[in-house]
Parts: sequence; C-alpha cells; structure tokens
Amino acid sequence: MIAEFRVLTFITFFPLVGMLATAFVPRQQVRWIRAITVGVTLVQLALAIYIWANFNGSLAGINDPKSFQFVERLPWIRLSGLGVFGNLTIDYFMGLDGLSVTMVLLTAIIAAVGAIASFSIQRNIKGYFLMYLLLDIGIMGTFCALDFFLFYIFWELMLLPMYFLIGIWGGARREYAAMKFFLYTLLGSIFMLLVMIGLYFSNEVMLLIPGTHEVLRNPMTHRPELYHTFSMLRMMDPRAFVAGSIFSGAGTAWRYAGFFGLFFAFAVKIPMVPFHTWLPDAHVEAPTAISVILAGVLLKMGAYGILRLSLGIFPEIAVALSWYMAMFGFINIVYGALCAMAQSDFKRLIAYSSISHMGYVLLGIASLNAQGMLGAVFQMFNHGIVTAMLFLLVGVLYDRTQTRGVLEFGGLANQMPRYFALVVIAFFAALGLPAFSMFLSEAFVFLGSFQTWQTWTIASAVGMILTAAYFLLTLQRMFFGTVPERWNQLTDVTPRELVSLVPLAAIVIAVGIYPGPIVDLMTTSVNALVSIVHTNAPLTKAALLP
Amino acid sequence: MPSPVHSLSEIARAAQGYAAFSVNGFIPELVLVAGFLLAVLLDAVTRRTSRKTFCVFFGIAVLALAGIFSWTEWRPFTPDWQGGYFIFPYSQTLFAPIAHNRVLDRGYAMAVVDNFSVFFKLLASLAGIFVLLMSLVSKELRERSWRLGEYTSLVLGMTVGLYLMPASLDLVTIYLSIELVSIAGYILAGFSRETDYGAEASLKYILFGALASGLMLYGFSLFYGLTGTTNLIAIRQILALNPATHTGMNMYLLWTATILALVGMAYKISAVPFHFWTPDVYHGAPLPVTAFLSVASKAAGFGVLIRFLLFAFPTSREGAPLLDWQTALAVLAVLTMTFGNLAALLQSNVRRMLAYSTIAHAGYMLAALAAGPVAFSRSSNFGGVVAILIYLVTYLFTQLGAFYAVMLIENKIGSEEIDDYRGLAGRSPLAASALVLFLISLTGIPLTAGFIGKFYVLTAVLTPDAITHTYPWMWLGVAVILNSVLSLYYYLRVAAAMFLKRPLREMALAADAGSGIPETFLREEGGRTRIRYSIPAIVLLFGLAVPTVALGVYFKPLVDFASGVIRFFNF
Repeated sequence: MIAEFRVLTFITFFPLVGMLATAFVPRQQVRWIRAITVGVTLVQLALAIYIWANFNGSLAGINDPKSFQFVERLPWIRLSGLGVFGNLTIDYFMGLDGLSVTMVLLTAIIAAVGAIASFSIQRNIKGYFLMYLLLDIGIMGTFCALDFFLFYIFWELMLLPMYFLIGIWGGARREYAAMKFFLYTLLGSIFMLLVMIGLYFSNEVMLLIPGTHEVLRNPMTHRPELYHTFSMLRMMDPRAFVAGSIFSGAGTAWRYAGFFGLFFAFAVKIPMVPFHTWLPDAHVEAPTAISVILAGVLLKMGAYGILRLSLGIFPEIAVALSWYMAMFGFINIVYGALCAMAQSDFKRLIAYSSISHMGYVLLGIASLNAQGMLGAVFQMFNHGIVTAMLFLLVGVLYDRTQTRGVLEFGGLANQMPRYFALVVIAFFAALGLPAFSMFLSEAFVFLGSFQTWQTWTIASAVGMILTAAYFLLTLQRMFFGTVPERWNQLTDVTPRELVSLVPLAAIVIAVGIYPGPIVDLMTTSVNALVSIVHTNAPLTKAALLP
Repeated sequence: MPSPVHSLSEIARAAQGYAAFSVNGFIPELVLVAGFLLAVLLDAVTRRTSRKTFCVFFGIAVLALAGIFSWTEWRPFTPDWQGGYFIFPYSQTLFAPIAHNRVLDRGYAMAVVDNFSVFFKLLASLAGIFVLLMSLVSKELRERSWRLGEYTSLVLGMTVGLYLMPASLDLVTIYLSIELVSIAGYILAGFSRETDYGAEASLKYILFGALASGLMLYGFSLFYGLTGTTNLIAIRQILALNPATHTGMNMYLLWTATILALVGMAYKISAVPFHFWTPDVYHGAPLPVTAFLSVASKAAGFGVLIRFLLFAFPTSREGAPLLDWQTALAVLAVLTMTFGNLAALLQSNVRRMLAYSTIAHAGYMLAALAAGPVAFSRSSNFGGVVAILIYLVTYLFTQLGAFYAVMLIENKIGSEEIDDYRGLAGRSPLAASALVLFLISLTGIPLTAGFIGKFYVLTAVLTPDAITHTYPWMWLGVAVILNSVLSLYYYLRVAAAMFLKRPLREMALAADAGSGIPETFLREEGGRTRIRYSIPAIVLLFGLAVPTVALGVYFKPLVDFASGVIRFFNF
C-alpha cells in the first residue's frame, strides 16, 4: 500500500473538482458538462478498481483500527481546556474494511452508470450535474467514514442534492415525492444525531501528541486529558464506555433507546416496512439515473449502517431483538413482493421489488451467523447492480414511449430483441435463478437464517415464489403476444444505453458464476463482525433472553 | 445542607474575582453615546438627501469602534484569571437592610464588564454593522433616504441599550436598558409609518411593550420588597441566607415576582405566550429593522435573561434550591418552539414565516438554558449558556442572511408571498441559492452553521447531571429534534417554490394555449428577465453566506470563543 497516496480522500472529494470545473463551464456547453461528470465518475471507478486490486482480504477491520486499510486519520476539531462539555475530538478518519470496500466498489460502478444514464436529462443540465456530483461525494464519504461525526455529515450531505434532483428533474408528482423523501430521511437521521451525542458523552480516550508517544496533557494541571471521541471503532468496545455514562453497561433501557434511535434512521433508509412509504414515490418520480442511484446505493446505506453501527455498538440489543429483525425481514420480502405484484406501473413494480429484495438483507443480518451475514452483504452488492439495471431498463422504455404502464405493452420481444435479452438477464437475476449473482446471495441468506430462525426462513421462501411470479408475469405481459399498433416504431437499445447496461449484465453473470473476487473481499470482515457481536453480546444475553 | 457561613464565603470568593471600576469600564458605551449625538448633529447639517448615506457609514464606524473598545476588555482565561470589573459601584449600606457588608464589599454595582457582557457587545456591534449595511441596499429605506440620518442615530441609540442589557447587574439597570432598546425599537419599527403595516407594527410593539415592561417592573418591585435590594448579587445573597424570603407565603410571592420579571425578558426574546407582537412587527417594520430586532434585540434579551436567572438565584451549593425555574423554562421552551413552528407552517408570506420561525429558535435556545446550567447540582455546568452563545453567533449570520436574501428579492419583485417566489431560481439563481443555504442552516443540516448551533443545544440538553448521572432533559432533546423536522417542512416550501415550481404567470400563459406566444417563451430558460443585483449587494450576501458555511465546517474558534465566557462570574 502506498502510504502517501490518500486514495480515500481522492475518491470521495474528486467530484468536488468536477463541481468546480462544471461551475466555470457556460451552461450552453452541454457536452462539456456531461463529459466532466462522466470523466469524474470514471476516475472514481478507476480508483475503486485500484482499491479493489490492492485490498487485502485477510484483514478484518470492523473494530480493530490496525486492520483497516487505506486509513487516513487527521485531527479535525479538537476542543479542550475549558471543560464545558468535556474535551472533544472529531477526526477526519477514513478507512476501509470488507464491509465498506464492496460498497465503495458498488458506488463507483453505479455512479458511473448513472452519469451515463443522465444524458437523457434535457433541462438545466448544469444544475443537474452539480447536484449529481455533490450527491456522489455524500454517498462515497458515508461508506469511507469511520468517525461518527464525519459519517453523519456525509449522511446528511446527500439529502439536499437528492431533494433537488427528485424535485426539479422528476416526474409529475415530483414535489410531493421530494418533500416526503427529505422529511422522512431527516426524521430518521435526527434520532441518529441524538444517539450520536449520547455515544460521544459515553466515550473517552487519551490522545497522543502527533508523532510521539506522549499523552496530551492539560496545560494547567499537567494531568493526562481525556477526550470524548466520535470514533466508531472506540464505540464498539464495550469496555471503553465511561462508567455511569448513558450507554454504559449492557442491556440497559438507555441502550435499548439508543439502538432504536440508530435502527430507526437505518430502517427508514433500507426501507423497512412500515417505514417504506417514501420509497415508491421517490423512485417513481425521480429521473432514471437518480432512481438508479437511489435503489442501487442509497438503500444500502441503511443496511450498511445497521452492520457497521447498530450491530457493532449495541451487540447485545441486536442479539436480543434479532427475532424481530428476522420478522421484519420476512415482512419486507413478502409484503414487497405482494405489492409489486399488484402494480401496473413498471417503475413502481421495480421499486417494490427493491423493498422485497432488501428484506433478504435484513433477514441475513438477523441470522447473526457468518453465512447469513455474508449473504446480506453480498445481497447488498448484487441488488445494487441488478436493480440499477432494472431501473435503467425502465428508463429505456420510458424515454421512447413516455409511459410505464405494464399493460400497455405487448410483443416487445420481437420489436426490441436486444432490449428483451437484457430484460431477461435482469429479471432472471432478480428472481434468483442460479448462475445469476442474486441466487448466490439469497442462498447464503437462507442458509444462514435457517440455522437461527427457521420459521421466518421457511415463511420467506414464499417470497421467492411471489418474486418469480411477478417478474414472469411482467415478462409475459410486456414481451409476448402482439404489439399494440402505436408501438410499431419503437427502436431498440442504442449504443449509449448499451454502454451502461452491458457492463452491469456482465457483472451479474460473472459474479453469479465466479463470486470469488467479491466474496473474498468481505469474508474475513463478516466473520470478524459475527464473532464480535457474539463475544460482546453474551455479557448480558442470559439476562435478556427468557 | 451546607452551613450558611460556607455558602457566604462561596459568594464572597466569587465576588473577589471582580475588581471595582468606574467610568473607565464604560468606554464602549460612551463611544456609542457620543456617536449617537454626532449622528444627530450630522443629520442636521447634511441637507442634501444624497449625502445622507454618509450618516450610515458614520454609524458603521461608530459601531466598529465601540466593538473594538469592547474587544479590549475581553480577558482570555489564565490561571490568575479575574472575573471582570464592576462599573458604577455604590455603597451597599444605601440599599441593603441586612448587614452583610463584612462579606461583600464590592458586589454592589450597576453593571459589570466581563467576558459574558463583552461577548454580547461584540454580537450587538456585528449585528448592527450588518444591519446598517443592509439598510444601504434596502429599497424600503432608500425610498425614505432623507431620514437615513435619523435612522442611523436610532440604531446607535438602540445599541447603547443592547450593550447595557447583558451587562446589567441591577434590576434598575436592567429595566432602564430594556426600555432604551424598546423605545428606539418602537420608532424604528414604525419607520415606514405611512404604510398601514408600518403603523400597525409600531403601535402593536408599543402596546405589548408597555404591558410587558409594566409587569416586569411590578415583578422587580416585589423583589425589592422581598429582599430589600435591587442588586442581583445581593438578592442572591439574601435569598440564600434569609429563609424568610422563600418560605411560607413568601414562596408564592417569590414565584410571582420571578414570573413577572421574566415577562419582560420573554417579551424581548418573543417567547410564547409573549410573542403576539412578533409576526406583525416583523412584517410591518422595514426589513433591516426586522433583522436587527430578531437578532440583536433577541440576543440581548437572552443575555439579560441568563444574567438574571444565574445571578439572582442561589444554587444548591449556597443553600436549598429555591425555585425550580429550570422546569418552568423547559415547558416554556417546548411551548415556544412548537407554537412557532406550527404557526410558521401556515404562513403564505415569507417574512411572516421567518418571524414565526424566530419564535421557534428562541424556543431552542430556551431549551438549552433550561437544561444546561443544572442549577440544582453542586458543580454548576454552564454548558447551556455556552450552547446559547454558540447558537446566537450561528443564528446571527443565518437569520440576518435569510432576511437579507428576502430583502434583495423583495427589492426586485416587490413581493414576499411564497407564491410569487415561484420559479425564482431561474431568474435569480444567486439569491435563491443563498436563501436556500440560509434556510437549510436554520433547519440545522450539517455543513452549515445552524447545525453547529443545534448540535450544541442538543449537547447541552443531553449533558448528564454531574451528581446523579441521570438525563432529566431527554424529553426536551426529543422535542427539539422533532421540531427541527417540523421546521424543515416550511423552510423547504420556500425552496420548492423557488426551484421546483413554475411561475404563476407562466402557468397562466401556458394554460392560454394558442395565444400566439412562442413555445420557447414558455420553456425554462427563455422569455424571462434575469434579476441583476449591484456588486455591493452581492458582496454583502457573500459576507453572510461564507461564515454560514465556514462555521459549519470548522467551528473550533467559535466554540473556544464562547467557552471563554464560561466562568463569567466564578460561581
């Protein structure tokens, strides 16, 4: 690893360069504006591939700062001396482990694909790409941050651009959808803010003077000073909590409250039924590229948050409540699938299928064993790719016909053969056919969760049948039979659309056949997370479970 | 319970930190008074209307000078730190019927110069400078530019009061300074008195102000009746040492006195239920005046409130806790923020919406004050005070910025209705983006100053009690965050109108299809006049927007500065 090359800073903030460049391009120079964004996202993709190639899959990370990779740590804000709220340290602390490296890779892929798909945006192009790049910074930063404060800032940073991207460039009910998205997400994340403040009061560390092994001391009393820290890794150590602080101990009422606060923020994002109602609106109203980003990456931030923060910081609560988590996983899978079945709007159907597929992630996390959790992380990656493809395909059709009604089409298989081939790949991957990537992750999830929660796993299997049903039904309605008169002139997929679709299809198949390169990234970290949860949780498990 | 002697020495030691000073501690105020007189003179000698702007620049210079003089009184924290200076000391035998003069021989003064008051003086100067700069751009004031000299002198006169309010150590000074601010405020609020709204603003402000100050004065008189003194430190001392002042029926009297005294201050910070004047005055007054009232006057109100509550009431360290003013304040805080936000939801006028939102912001700060000081624990924790100071600074830039952006837009389109803001982003991207930035900062989204303010308010609310390690104010924290989400809704409505919606005129045109209007005219870019602003106007906009972002990214200097106030009176 090259110590001097701050690859995470670069990959996160490189869009800022693009934003500056875009700001100086006249608004008429549409080609340049598009080229800048595509260029920036391609550089990000190259960096992500560099990270992927140099990532050492045998290092665990999770709560051990030494086994994180590409670490950057600089003090950002240090307050000391006056002791109003105690001393405080906020670090610019970035690093990757198996959980985040897959997400960074996914983000880079989806951002590049989304940038190409954004070519169909026709009005106020400059503003659009500025917002797009800002969104990109927020997402990438969220996955790289290891300091809770930093994480929170990145997490909130993407709200505003997302609001405008849906609200300005969205469909007919865009204002309503954008407002709903913003309010819902803020409601979730503001509880996270409360928990974050509680956590920082609960943690204290001694700091070293940079470059030495000397402890930072109070300039007046010359005693070593304790700093409240936002370091997530520190928060995961149950012994690090200050005695008598709000989140100290195990299984206390405050810790339950803290867990619920964090979990709510992430559950809104996943989205977990019953907090899912923003998603169909946002997805349907957003322009294609933004739907791709929303479904492909943003939903994963919720699941990532649960894995990184909820499980790590409140392991005993997560263990105690995992039965409920599995139940909600089941509800997501089946409810999402049932809703998808009832939709006649193509895009809304895909949106509900996302809810269903994210249920597998919840179920996998709730299993609390290596197979299930691995399945969950793998499912996050696979769903990101597959759902991005699905939304792109919806967009292809919508661009040509200005309608998304499933029942308005028929016989498109002959009309648009290349389109049909891509749809078949995406649909079969989404319904979990073997040899496609999602089969593997769903199999892992079931394998893991069957050991822990048999009932919910068996019940969830219904969801797989429902998923197959609605995808096949849709395929039949749209692609077989006769072509309605008015769609006789539809053109097939253009080269530009192929550029974004074919790589995704290739990934879906390649990972489905040979999952090694992706799975190897995360295995060690997932194992470590499982063992951390289980070693930290039994402290009070006996007292919690009847 | 600690012995009286012990508590007596506590108070004495605290007061020892302060050295007695006289007029030399009063230089910033004297500068302002001189400036005020000169401004009146200047106004009289400048005949030509075009020269009147010079008066405004003169006012800015005076405010800056006073600010610099105040700055020299800032004492950074050192081991041999002195609390501050008493100014205008007087003999306690004049007022104190109970002889404690052997203990406290220097605590009796009209006002005090300490970091706390210096902080508020700097805040008042800064706000005044920004407001005078805004006034130069304001169309409302430019239309009356022959009165700009008068206007400047009134702002300077008000600033004298703003300087004195947080520095007051005596009920008499508190009353006088509040009145000074109010009377200047009444005239300023009615500056555009020819308009209906202007006249209404001034009248409402006077009527409510008169009522509030009357009630406050009555409360002060009850305090004098109870304790025999008007000095805050002496009141504290007597309340701590003489149980007769707060036992039996006198407890009710003390509550009555406290509540009545708080009315005047609640009126200044526009806390519910003393807020009724706020929307009408903010709506009717010229926008720079509104901005000044909502930022500087509110800040000084908080200064005097903090000074009064933390100085006049003993903590448990000095004897039994007297009043549970914290819980009372917490309830008031929740009422204030919830009412402010709910009322703001219903507004169709941006300025009225902002007026109600300032009520909500007073609620957030009250929450910090209620929860922060932990008056009943042994180790006094001034987290709440520091949080308010941080909040006030972030609020200064953000709220002034929001009002300024609204003013710039009003100058050009002549309206403050949200419906008239439709499609503004296309015509005036700069002002629209800046307004969104300020509104986002008011909501408290990260990377803006408002987030730091809210973060510290929440931190103060969630600070554990030092002794019991409990979190008695968690419900207050939840109230604050739920209110933040509520506020996002109406702030976003403005953003949505500017960025998401098409102008009504254009929609009307589009509906009238076939009228021969070219298609390009109806598109997003075409057919619209771009709004242009003068360079100084844009510079001022950046002057407010840059700190709003900068404080959100790097807030260490601000927190360090505000924390420097922490031991403002060594208790």
